[in-house]
Amino acid sequence: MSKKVLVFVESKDGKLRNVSFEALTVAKQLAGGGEVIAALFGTGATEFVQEVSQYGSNKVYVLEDEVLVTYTTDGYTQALCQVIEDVQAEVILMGHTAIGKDVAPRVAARFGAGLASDCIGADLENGDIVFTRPIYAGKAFQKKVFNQGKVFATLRPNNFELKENPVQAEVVSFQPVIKDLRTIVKEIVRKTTGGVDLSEAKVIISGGRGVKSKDGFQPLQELAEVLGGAVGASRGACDADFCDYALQIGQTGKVVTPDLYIACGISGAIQHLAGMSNSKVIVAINKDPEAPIFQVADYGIVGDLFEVVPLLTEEFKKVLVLS
Amino acid sequence: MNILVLVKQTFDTEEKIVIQNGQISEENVEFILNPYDEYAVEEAVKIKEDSGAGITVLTVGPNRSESVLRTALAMGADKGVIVELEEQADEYAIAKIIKAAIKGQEYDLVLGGNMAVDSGSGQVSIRVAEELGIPQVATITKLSLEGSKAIVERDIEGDVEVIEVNLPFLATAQQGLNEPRYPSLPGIMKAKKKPLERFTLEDLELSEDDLATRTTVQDQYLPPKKQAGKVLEGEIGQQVHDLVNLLRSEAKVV
Amino acid sequence: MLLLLNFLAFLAVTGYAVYLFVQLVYSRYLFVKLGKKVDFEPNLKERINAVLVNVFGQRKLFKDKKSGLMHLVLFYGFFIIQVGLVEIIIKGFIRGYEFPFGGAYKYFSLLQEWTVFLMLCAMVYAFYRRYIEKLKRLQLKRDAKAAFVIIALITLTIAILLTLGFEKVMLGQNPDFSHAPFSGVITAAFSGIGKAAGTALFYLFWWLHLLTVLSFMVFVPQSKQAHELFAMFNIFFKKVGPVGKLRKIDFEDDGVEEFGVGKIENFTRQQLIDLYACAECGRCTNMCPASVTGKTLSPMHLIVKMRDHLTETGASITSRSPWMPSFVSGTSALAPSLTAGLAAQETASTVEMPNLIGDVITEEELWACTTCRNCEDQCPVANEHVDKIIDLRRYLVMTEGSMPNEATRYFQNIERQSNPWGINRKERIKWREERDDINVPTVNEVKEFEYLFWVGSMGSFDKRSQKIVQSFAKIMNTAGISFAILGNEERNSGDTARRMGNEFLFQQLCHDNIANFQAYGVRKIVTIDPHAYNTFKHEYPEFGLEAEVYHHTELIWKWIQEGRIKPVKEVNEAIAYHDSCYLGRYNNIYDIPRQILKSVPGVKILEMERNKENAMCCGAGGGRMWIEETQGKRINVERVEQALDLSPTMIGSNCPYCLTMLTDGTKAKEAEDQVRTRDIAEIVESSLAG
Ligand SMILES: Cc1cc2nc3c(=O)[nH]c(=O)nc-3n(C[C@H](O)[C@H](O)[C@H](O)COP(=O)(O)OP(=O)(O)OC[C@H]3O[C@@H](n4cnc5c(N)ncnc54)[C@H](O)[C@@H]3O)c2cc1C
Ligand SMILES: Cc1cc2nc3c(=O)[nH]c(=O)nc-3n(C[C@H](O)[C@H](O)[C@H](O)COP(=O)(O)OP(=O)(O)OC[C@H]3O[C@@H](n4cnc5c(N)ncnc54)[C@H](O)[C@@H]3O)c2cc1C
Ligand code: SF4
Ligand code: SF4
Repeated sequence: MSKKVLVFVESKDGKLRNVSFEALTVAKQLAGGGEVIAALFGTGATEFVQEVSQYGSNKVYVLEDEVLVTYTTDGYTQALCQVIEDVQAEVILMGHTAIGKDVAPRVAARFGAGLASDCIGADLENGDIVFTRPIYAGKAFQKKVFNQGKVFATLRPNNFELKENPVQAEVVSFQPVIKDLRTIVKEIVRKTTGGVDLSEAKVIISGGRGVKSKDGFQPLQELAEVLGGAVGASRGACDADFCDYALQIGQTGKVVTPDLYIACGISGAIQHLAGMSNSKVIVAINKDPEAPIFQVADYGIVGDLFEVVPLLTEEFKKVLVLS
Repeated sequence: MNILVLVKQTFDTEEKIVIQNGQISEENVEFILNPYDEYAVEEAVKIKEDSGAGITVLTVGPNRSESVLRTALAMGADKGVIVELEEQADEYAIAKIIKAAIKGQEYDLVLGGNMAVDSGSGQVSIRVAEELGIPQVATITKLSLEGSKAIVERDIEGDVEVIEVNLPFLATAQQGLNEPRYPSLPGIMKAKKKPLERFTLEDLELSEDDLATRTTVQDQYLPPKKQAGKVLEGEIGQQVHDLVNLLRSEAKVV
Repeated sequence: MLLLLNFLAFLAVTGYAVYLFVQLVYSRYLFVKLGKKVDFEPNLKERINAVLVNVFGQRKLFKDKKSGLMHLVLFYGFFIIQVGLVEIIIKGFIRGYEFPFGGAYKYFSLLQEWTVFLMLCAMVYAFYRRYIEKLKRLQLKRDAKAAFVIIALITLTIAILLTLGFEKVMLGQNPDFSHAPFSGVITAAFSGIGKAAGTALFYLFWWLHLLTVLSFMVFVPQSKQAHELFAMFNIFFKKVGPVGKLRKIDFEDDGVEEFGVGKIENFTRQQLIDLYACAECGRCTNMCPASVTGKTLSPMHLIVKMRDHLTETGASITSRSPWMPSFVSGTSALAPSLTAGLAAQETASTVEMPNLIGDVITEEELWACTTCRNCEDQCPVANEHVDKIIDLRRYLVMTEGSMPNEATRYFQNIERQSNPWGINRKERIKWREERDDINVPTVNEVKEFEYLFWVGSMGSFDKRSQKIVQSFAKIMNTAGISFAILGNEERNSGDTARRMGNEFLFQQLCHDNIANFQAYGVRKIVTIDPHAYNTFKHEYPEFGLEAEVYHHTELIWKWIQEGRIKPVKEVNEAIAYHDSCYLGRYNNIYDIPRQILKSVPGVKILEMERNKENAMCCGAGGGRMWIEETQGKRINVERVEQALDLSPTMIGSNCPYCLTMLTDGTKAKEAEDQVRTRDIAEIVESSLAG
């Protein structure tokens, strides 16, 4: 039972997003020998065709339209619907990114179809596609199957192994008809200078009194940059004037729930834990093996943060460049 | 100005999840108003305070969900609507039900949460926007109304997108939009007297197809028990190397 | 003829002054009556005793010995010279009049002379303290009224001596140094001026004395000197029962739309008398941890601002002028603020009254209070600041739903998970697993138990406080005590919620807890948390709790005395001991913890300058533990500096909140490596034989 699978391929800052390759890999597997079609939006999309075909898509729809350069819900919904109609796609995959989260439910609703969002697994079981997705913030998981209609799914980044599968792709230049954009994007403010906003960051590198000085935050800052995360702090560090109170995490500071929280030189007082204990994964770096932070940490390194943090930065730089 | 807020009752985020016979146990569980929906209600009440508005809060769910309507009414909403639902329904069906429940009403603004903290699919509000044929602005962190249009800031992976949109539209609330208020006692008491409309599915105009779920939850299970924290061992360089590997392969957070 | 004229002038002036005085006092009486009526619990014995101790014994005043002595002289002097004043007035109409005391008269005269002289000295000293020594607490509120008091009393005493001195000159008598030692000097000095001049000067000073007395009388109700009239009533009508116990709100009463106090008239009458009783002495603010560390809250200003607001509001509601005579108040010499001056002249509706919360008292001030009761403990007229602050907070929280974000977070966490952090309530019991050498059964795991061990949220969840409860459990095991915990059925005590103004949440928790105690047949409760201890012991009974309540230090001391536990190992530490507010000022337990420490071999107790009832708060009470402290200096840092002045090796405490604050303070001072912080239970455990 082969299926026609369409993958919406997303680019950001002039680069294809890794999750799109993951989606292509998954598509290949779910297609069961059927066609895998990639859709690329925006002017200059053609230059990505080569890269996309590395992951086994037989056909690449290129929508070189000015209107699609900036994301709008209406523009992308219309374009995507038209491509789906055109290729008669049965399964539609995309990343669970800002765009995927916004457009997928809308398009699925337009087709009267179901959508499995934020999936971390997609498997064929007796010819049926079974999606796995976390619920209750990862405290449990569910398996979801489709009863009827088209199958839509968004995939959580960094959860699927990439498999290259170079093919010779056919390029289809497609001209969508887009009208009546009801939202106007006035401006996009990049928060690159101030780093990522704490309360929304997926990765937080946090420093405590153990950081010793204002300059002591520098290595943490560097690690945060490599991981695309934000820097936070304990009240101890704020009080000692190592950093601004805006960074304070805890009972009387911000409450954060990142995927990864790295606590450096923080003892783990309950007033601090109250602000971060719901982080998915907690790493503690502290020279005192008795520090209570180790009791809530998933991984701990007993050592001097000034030694450990720069090493971590180096190590991450190595592996993140490779992927 | 008429505002509709979509709300859902969820587990308190601190609850432990227990699964019995493939079902999530609700025994002894503390239920709350979905935190993102709380932002949505707060935003509606702020608009009401600034420029006047009638606020309807609507939920679809089992009987116990009524408590979240009371919370929203205590915060300042004017009217509650509950569609009682005990049977299976996926995001597709719930959106259809919501559409049917508000049939005939005109809303200038519909607010919902960015996602429910339990099932967390982040679909229902957006689907409702599509069902109603109005534009959506998701994950908003700021909303300013200017006559018949609005300037909205939304969070897109840390960056801020500023959007202009005409009423009516639907927006989903992201953390940072506001600080929800603590309902006052007179608010709580008044809430007891505010109108609350109840529907069952039979009361609504729904086709068989509307209720035919597109997806089914086949299984629910707990992750393998998290081991107690691992304090790594060995030479520091090796520990760092191991940590990076663990974060990528075991924890999958990087 | 002249004498008649003199008499008529006297009648007119005195009559007018008395009229003004009565009007002014009556106005204030009416203003106080605007407050809510509360049931008066007779308890006459307790009340009269309070008056005797605090009014006639002037007990509180002696916390500042110099001021206390000064005030004692003025207080009793005031009564004594009243008698003399009557005599002097009669002397104006009957030449050479003397009270018919016979042979005792000369002693009466001597008493008067000395009293007047001592009062003069006291006033000169008062002048010195306020304007030359510039005592800090007396600089808190500077206005012309304080100067007026001093000048008037100095004038009065001098005028008395002059009148008496010139009387003798007028009568041509010789000075009697043995019974009129001070006025005698004047007689002697002026004996040469002749009878006529003597007569003129006698009447001059007689009038000066009379006018001073009358002006002072009219002035009293309009100034801080009103305390002379109100303090006694205040002390008499004061709430009886445990100190700091808060008033219960009846939520069953359906008609009520306002909870707490949002308008000055919604205080009780008894609370309103407080306002007029204030002597503006500044003792409260002087000791207030919030004021001392630079917060906007000052308990004296809180009272004074509310007093002036009451006068303005009262004037507006009753259309009575609070400031008289109008030719003086028109220049606003008496009226404290512009609106008050206006209110006096215009009728009620034309003036916009300021809001009690927001305009008169800011929310910032209200949230700064740690409820430490240091102010109340100091106050010579027994004013209660804390219950007013909490009534105002109650209004903000329950009626308005307006509070700092951290407070919202706190309440929601308590509502949902019954602990301040919102940690899953099923993890409450986990603390007992962390140490395998202790045996801590739950009420369900034993058939019988003597004590219910109330662990509290800090002891249950906070890693540091867990060590305290583990130590105490170990002590109980060693002493062979039968006890049990509620485990995951334990909820929050509600004390903090109550002190943060959320009476509704408090009562819910209180009812749940009492039901739980009853279900398990609890008769005795012991806890390491002085806050829970205080509310269980003094506040829960009103809601139906019948149990004996102990703080762990009370039982530890009992068991040491009974020989059940024996501290034998040397603990060589110099311990600066910190008294917690809720064990100390709320419950008067100062000696037991010190006795315990003394019984531990090796321990040297260091007393901080502010100790026992004067001990400064750590900064955590009244919900401050859960709200960020951004204004001024941190209270805990200030307190730790006071302790570090003694160069201790350890700081000891009896409360988990204090311990957190003190620990954080030593870290802030980077002294955590040299000075450790420990609870008494931990110190005792470390001294028990292995
Ligand atoms: C009202 C109130 C509100 C509070 N609110 C908050 C809040 O919102 N957030 C918050 O964080 N705290 C809060 N606290 C403070 C809290 O109680 C702790 O004091 C604080 O979290 C401690 O900060 P810290 O862990 O950085 O410092 P410390 O406890 O001093 O810990 C420093 C740690 O660094 C380690 N270290 C030192 N040097 C090195 C090195 N070179 N390499 C590795 N490790 C090293 C040490 O071993 C130690 O464990 C609050 C306290 C109060 C009273
Ligand atoms: C008894 C039961 C049976 C179920 N059966 C199925 C099934 O057969 N197939 C299946 O796939 N799933 C099923 N589910 C899961 C269900 O689909 C989701 O809980 C529901 O669709 C909401 O999705 P969500 O929680 O991810 O909300 P999201 O889409 O994440 O919510 C986003 C926002 O939409 C609004 N919203 C969400 N839900 C509601 C609501 N109920 N009422 C009002 N507003 C709402 C809120 O504003 C919310 O913040 C079932 C759930 C229950 C309780
Ligand atoms: S209770 Fe303490 S903090 Fe509050 S006003 Fe009085 S002295 Fe100040
Ligand atoms: S309230 Fe009491 S202590 Fe404070 S200034 Fe007034 S009289 Fe003095």
